[in-house]
Amino acid sequence: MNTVKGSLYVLFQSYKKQIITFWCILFSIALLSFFLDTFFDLYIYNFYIMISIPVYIFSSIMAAKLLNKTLSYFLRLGLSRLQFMFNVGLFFICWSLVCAFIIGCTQKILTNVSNIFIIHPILLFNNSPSFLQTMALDTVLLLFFLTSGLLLNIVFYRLGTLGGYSFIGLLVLIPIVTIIFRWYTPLFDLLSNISSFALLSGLLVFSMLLYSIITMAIRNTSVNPA
Amino acid sequence: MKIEVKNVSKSYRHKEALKNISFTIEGPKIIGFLGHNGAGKTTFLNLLSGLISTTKGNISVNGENVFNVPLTLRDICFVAENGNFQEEMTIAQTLKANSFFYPKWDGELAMELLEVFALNPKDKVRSLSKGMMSALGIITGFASNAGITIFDEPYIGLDVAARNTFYDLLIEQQTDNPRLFILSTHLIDEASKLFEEILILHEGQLLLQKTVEEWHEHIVAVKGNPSDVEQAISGLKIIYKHTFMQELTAIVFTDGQSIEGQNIMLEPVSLQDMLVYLSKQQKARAIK
Repeated sequence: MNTVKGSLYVLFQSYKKQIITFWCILFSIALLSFFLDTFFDLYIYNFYIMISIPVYIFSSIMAAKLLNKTLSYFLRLGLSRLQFMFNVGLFFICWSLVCAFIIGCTQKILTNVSNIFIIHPILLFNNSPSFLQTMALDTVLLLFFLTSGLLLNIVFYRLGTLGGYSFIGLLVLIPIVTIIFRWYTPLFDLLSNISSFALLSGLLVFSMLLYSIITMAIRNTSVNPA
Repeated sequence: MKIEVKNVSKSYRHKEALKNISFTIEGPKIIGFLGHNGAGKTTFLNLLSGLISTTKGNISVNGENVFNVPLTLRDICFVAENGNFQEEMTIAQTLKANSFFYPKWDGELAMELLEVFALNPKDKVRSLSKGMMSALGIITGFASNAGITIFDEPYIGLDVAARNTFYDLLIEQQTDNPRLFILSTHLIDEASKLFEEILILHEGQLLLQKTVEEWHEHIVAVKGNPSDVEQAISGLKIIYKHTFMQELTAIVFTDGQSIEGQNIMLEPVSLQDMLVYLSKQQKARAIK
């Protein structure tokens, strides 16, 4: 239990500065948007901002540096690789829940006090989502982005720069092949017919699967990146 | 504490860092883990602390494998040359973090040592000089109270006074709370008096493992007329030979055998000289 507490403490301390900087910038932008909307209401027809998507991007970037930043330190402190992954998983869950809560609250406040239109992925499924629905989607999406960032990190960590960029090249190939062979039609059909709950559950399961693959890949990894 | 190393090899892509080494260390004791640059010391210490896996063989502590076994790893504190701390954290946060991971962490001792080494707990690790970073490593090592405490070049950047403080602390700790200290250093002359047992790695192999008492009996410099020295050392393992002004000096492993001969002198070999000879031998081989 102590090692779990210690890991969460170290992970938070390691990312504290970046987290504070990011949220300060995001809140400044939100505040500026609020003032612009309030004081220049006559000149601005519609004001649109995004809060959740920058958080997803920030989270995936942070996760993409996690192994290089912390693995060696934790192993020196006597954690096994499985313990490390377990603790990082807990950190990801806390990160997702807290960020989703902050996103939800910020959106709620902004929509209540201004006419700003907030773009959020949940609007693809539901025009008037509840706070909990928004938070649930954000949590799952954040988990997915954090896991994807970590996956990218482990690929670069184990296979080196060449292997990492080859992997990115392969990922880029996927949408190209999808367009060439017109696989996108059935994909869009599937996505439009599926319920938001099924989509969320699917994404959660997929994230868990990715996380298990990363755990397997890290089992025997060295402290020295490739 | 008992460390058993059985047929351990470690290969990197272009290099075999350790070649089938086997030995046992039992503590409490202060062990000098020596060898010239590239001998495989840091690779072995990384293996012992579970940071990397062996290519072949097994390392166990008290019968338990070390790689990925938290129960064993909890009792090993490895203070490496660098990369021991998170740069974003302050010294106080680093020590607090340590307290979560080392079950026998001594917070009071850590605070005392902060004063001894004149470190400010509010300073960020990133802002520390090399010497201050080494001091923080030393504090971590001692306050961890881990059964196996490994110091790999622990005093880079520390001045003579601070290094002497480290030696005094090491003796004090070993008296108050005996454990297995493994000290890897290049400042051999300074530290050699602390060692109770010496392990020398050479080109990825264990060259010797001797207690300090055994050292003087087994490693000897034989000096004298070349033909007499050659006759006296025939059949013995020669570490290094050189001739100066018609006098041949041969460093040999006696392995308990007595050396007899006319017109020869036997002299003890210091640890530092031994490593210089090993290094010269390696260079001579490389030139050939």
